[in-house]
Amino acid sequence: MRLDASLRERLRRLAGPECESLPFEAVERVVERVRRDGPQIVRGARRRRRLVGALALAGAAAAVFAATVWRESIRAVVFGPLRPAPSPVVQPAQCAQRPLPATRFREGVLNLGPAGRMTLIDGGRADVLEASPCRLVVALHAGGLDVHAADLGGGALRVEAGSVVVEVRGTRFRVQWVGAGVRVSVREGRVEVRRGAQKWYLASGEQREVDANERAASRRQADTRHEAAGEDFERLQPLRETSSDAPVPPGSASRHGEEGSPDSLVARAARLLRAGDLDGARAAYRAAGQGRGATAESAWIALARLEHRVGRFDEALRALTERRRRFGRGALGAEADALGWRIALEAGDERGGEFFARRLVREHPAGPHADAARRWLERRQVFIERGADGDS
Amino acid sequence: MDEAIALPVVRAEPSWLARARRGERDALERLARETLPYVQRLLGRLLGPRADLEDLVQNVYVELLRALPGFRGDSRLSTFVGGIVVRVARRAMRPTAFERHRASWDAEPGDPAAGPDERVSAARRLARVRAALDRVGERKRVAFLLWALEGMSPEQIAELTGASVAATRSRIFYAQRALLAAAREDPELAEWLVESERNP
Repeated sequence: MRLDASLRERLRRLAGPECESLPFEAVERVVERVRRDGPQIVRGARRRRRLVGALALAGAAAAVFAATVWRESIRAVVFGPLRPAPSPVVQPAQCAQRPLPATRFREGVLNLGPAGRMTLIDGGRADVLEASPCRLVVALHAGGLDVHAADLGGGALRVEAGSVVVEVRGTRFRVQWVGAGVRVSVREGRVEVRRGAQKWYLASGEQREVDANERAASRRQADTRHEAAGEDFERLQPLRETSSDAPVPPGSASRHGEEGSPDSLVARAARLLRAGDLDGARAAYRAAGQGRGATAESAWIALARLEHRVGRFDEALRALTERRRRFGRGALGAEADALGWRIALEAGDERGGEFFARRLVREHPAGPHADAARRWLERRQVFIERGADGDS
Repeated sequence: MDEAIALPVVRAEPSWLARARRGERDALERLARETLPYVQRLLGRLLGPRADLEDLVQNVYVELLRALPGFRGDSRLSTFVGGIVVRVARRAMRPTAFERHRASWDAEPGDPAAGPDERVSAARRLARVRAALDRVGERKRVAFLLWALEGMSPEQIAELTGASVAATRSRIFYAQRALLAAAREDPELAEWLVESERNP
């Protein structure tokens, strides 16, 4: 970038040393105006500068004041009152201050004080593996165990039966060996049942039998299914042992033989649901879903929502799969896929979530969930790529 | 560069400058008298002959007086005043105002040592140079005119315009390139370039 000194010299010669200047009278007019108006202009500018400075100072002081003294009040106005953070270090859980009255079964009973009570049934045999105030782990070797978890005070209560782990989310449940399997039935509240990577949530009135000796086999089976299925999530559907054996309460709808239009059946399902008859509602939704039209299609989605709400993710996905089989993309495809995406993620099935998200983007690109699905897929892609980088 | 105007107020006594900052009438008058030649000269270099030169000078002083309380003496007074002049000149360069008030290029004074014919010819050529520079942006034009006609260094121009030295050099270079390109299309400018190169 060379500047041409010779050109500059020639231009300076061309312009000459002189420049146009104002005549004497004009110069005097300028000076006179500066003399006349100058003091006022300068004082006005000084006042403005002082005002701006004072305002800036006041603003800064107010910000500092707000950030220190009034921080909590302002935060309370904007975000609601502050609640103490539930930090286990700063504030130990309530359970820490309540030592367990007993750490061994005595005459088939383990008294947990305010945390509840465990009772061995059917000649049950169990060992307490861990018994600290905030964590109780019991291994059930044979027979059954009635658990009444009353107030755990933030602690954990777990029963292990072979490879099946039942973790307390609620209050009363039973774990029982049935042949090679373990039956978990919940009377009150909610429990989480795990076997390896699989997880089920059981709500009040539900029970489930889990084969405790097929941990490795079932994992292999699931992996094989995943590999074979590729993008086809329908073939990744839950394992067979997820059927619910909960008794059907008297007076509720039977599982089969529901009759009526989809509209009346859906209305009936809603009524049963309000009355707490989950199985009756399920049956009514299924019956409604046998019909045709938008109501029948929506019945499968309603059923999926119901199953999702009680933590039966496999059943929820099965209901969505049935909807897809019967109605294809349908009128409610976007809603169904968005629900499936959410359920799969909550069930910890990332690949299932990816399947639904991809279908959502592909089939309903302008839908309200497509953007969110797209962003999630991008993040997942980045995560997978980073993971791959890390592995390499 | 040695011919660039030396502003007397560069050596201004801090006492009257301080009084001017407080708005004292005599000190302000002195400030105006000391800086007027510099202001006129810079405006003349940047804008050429203008019918509204007096208005522009008044504008410079209004802005100068408003900014005076903020002048702490960290930079030279010439830089402070020059910055304001450049700002006013750039505003005046914008096409609407510029076209409305531009006087005939023939009014450019030229070299007083030259004869009357030569002065007319120089004024016409200078008008063509300015017309060629009209095609480049204000910032480039200001930098080039201060460098070429006023003899300022890129460092001085950078200080005046608040730009970096590299940016200033680049602006001068691009304006120079535009001028040479225009000169190739203008027979009179082309002739002047050849002629002036032969007779330095």
